[in-house]
Amino acid sequence: MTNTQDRRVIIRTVNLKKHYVIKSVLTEALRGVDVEIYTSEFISVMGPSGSGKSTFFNMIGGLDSPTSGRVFIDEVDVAQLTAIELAFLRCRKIGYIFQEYNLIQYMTALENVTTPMAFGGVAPDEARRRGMELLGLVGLGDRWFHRPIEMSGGQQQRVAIARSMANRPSVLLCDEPTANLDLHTGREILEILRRLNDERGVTIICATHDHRMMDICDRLMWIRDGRIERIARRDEVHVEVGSIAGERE
Amino acid sequence: MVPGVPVVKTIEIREQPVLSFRRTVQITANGVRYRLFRSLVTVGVVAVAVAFLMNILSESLIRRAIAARASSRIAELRRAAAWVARLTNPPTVEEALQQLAAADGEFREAAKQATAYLSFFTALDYARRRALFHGAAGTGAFDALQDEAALSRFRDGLKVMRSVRLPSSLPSFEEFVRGWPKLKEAAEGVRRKQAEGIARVSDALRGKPLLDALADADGAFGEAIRSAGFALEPAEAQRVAQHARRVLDTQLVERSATAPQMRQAVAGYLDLLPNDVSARVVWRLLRSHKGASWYLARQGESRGEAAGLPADRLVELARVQDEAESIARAERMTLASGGFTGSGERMDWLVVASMLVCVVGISNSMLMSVTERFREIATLKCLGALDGFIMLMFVLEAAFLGVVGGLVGAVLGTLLGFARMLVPFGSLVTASFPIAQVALAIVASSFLGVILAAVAAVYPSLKAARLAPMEAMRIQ
Repeated sequence: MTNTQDRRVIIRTVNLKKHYVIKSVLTEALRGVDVEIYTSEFISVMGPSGSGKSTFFNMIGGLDSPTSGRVFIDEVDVAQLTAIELAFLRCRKIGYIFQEYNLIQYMTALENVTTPMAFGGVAPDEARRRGMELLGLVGLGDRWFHRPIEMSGGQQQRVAIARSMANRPSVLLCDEPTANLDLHTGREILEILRRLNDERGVTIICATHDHRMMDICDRLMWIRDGRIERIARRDEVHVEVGSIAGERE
Repeated sequence: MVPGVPVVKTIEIREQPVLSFRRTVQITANGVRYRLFRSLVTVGVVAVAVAFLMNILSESLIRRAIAARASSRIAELRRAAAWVARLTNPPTVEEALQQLAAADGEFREAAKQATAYLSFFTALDYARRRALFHGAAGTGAFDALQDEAALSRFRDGLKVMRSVRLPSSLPSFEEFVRGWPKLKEAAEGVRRKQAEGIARVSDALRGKPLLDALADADGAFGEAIRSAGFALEPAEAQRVAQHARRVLDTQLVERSATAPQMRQAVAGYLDLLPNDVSARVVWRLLRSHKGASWYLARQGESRGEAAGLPADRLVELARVQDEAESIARAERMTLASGGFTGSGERMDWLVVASMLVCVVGISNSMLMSVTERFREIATLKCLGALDGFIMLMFVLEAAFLGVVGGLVGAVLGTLLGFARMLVPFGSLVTASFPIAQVALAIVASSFLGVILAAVAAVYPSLKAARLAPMEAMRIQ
């Protein structure tokens, strides 16, 4: 896993820039980001709030279009896709996991998981079968009929993970998946993500403040002031962090 | 791979399939059930607007039904009076034409045409009548058009008046005018025959008042009428006789009450001033059996005119009097006051205004619903929902609420209208409730509720559909 050079590139950005104008004040959220992310990689994106981390996520998730520069997802230039093709991309190629879970409140766990399949045109019986399988994978097979309000945060996030995997995406985009969870539950979520990465080869891109993420990811990426400050492999970082490990535990 | 050089796209990006309508409805219904309270508020807005419309509509329908019933009842109550008129004056040519049009015979069609042309010409203003046929009135117009010069003048005049349209084509009118002398002859015949009949009937009367004689319409006098050439069916004769007798008895009672000592007695009985004893007061007294018996006893003492009548008859007369009065009141009160709803143009405007308020209200509550559900909408878009799905979801939601609100409002409005009409008209409302029309109005206004809700939801739905999917990432 350490030799990333052999792998296929799944997400590539070229001089990615994004400017916002809010009340005639120009904000440069991204000032030229060049990055390559490989298939089956687990990469953590770190950075303080306001660093452009969220903007970067929106860009590589096909949720927003860049001011200049390019985003390639699976070698497809996102800017050239129509709205309907973008919907296809979001439905099949990318799974999203949000900090606040964002489950649809009026749907049961199973309905939440099968909704993206319905959008993708999967037959209801097949969707139900696959949905139950995915809920089983995250350990919620017996709670498929519960609504989000009847579940704990950790359980909701697990449903969200099952939902993000609904259409077998190549990439999972996780936006602070453990920020709203306690230590123990957060660890469980991370373990599930790690397992998905190992067993299914899904590329996972994870924005986080959580230092435990360092233990399980392949590479780390720091963003600051709209630029990539540093990208490093875990083994490179671990030595440095190891010296301050005493402070963490 | 050279950075900066776009690679030609090789992997399949196909178009996203459109979610089936059934599934969309399911998801929407699920959502509506979950947000029941917010939904009820929207339903309430629709219900109030539709209830207002339906209340006005149902009241107007009930009024119309009552008016129709009242005028037919009044015609029935005045049957004797109508026969008195028929047996006193011979008909005019116009009336004779109407009789010809109503009866079977060779002149039926021509007479029908004649009445149509007559009402058309009567509606024209004088300047036009003058230009067309020297301002001749009534059937005089047909007389005036008899020579060719007058007819061509008429033709030219008609050509100039662009807004004037004959009830039939010009050639068929000319044909009618050519046939007019014959028709006129027939009408005159009817007139003459009836005038002769009237003369014979008045011979049969031998100075007796006509109304008194009509009390015998089912007997010898009826025969006299028939032999004078009037069509009087036995059933009709019986009813006419009944009415005539009732009118006579009514007059008798009212006359009997005007005697000074009677007034004194009634005033004493009812604790009133003698001057306040009107016919109405007397009839109210006679409505009860007890009052009628008391009245007859006083009549007996003072050898009054009504002494010979049985008490039951007095009560019956009082009841008929009462009904006639309420029917006359109903007829006065149900005069339609114009406008689409029959409750005045002002009311029409109020209805339109309430619809607008309803649209704004629904728009507002749908907009709030969209704002509250930013995250949900954005999440659905992240999961691959198309803009069309989001839009349809919101329009459908509004339409659901519109159906429920429309039905609830229509039923409530009808009940309210029914209750409000019960106060002035009482049992007349139940007797003449126009069920079919009201049911149709309920369906129509519920449908209107759906349309209003769907229209009001267009803007909020567009707003929802255009929402960027990255809103889902935003933290509250």
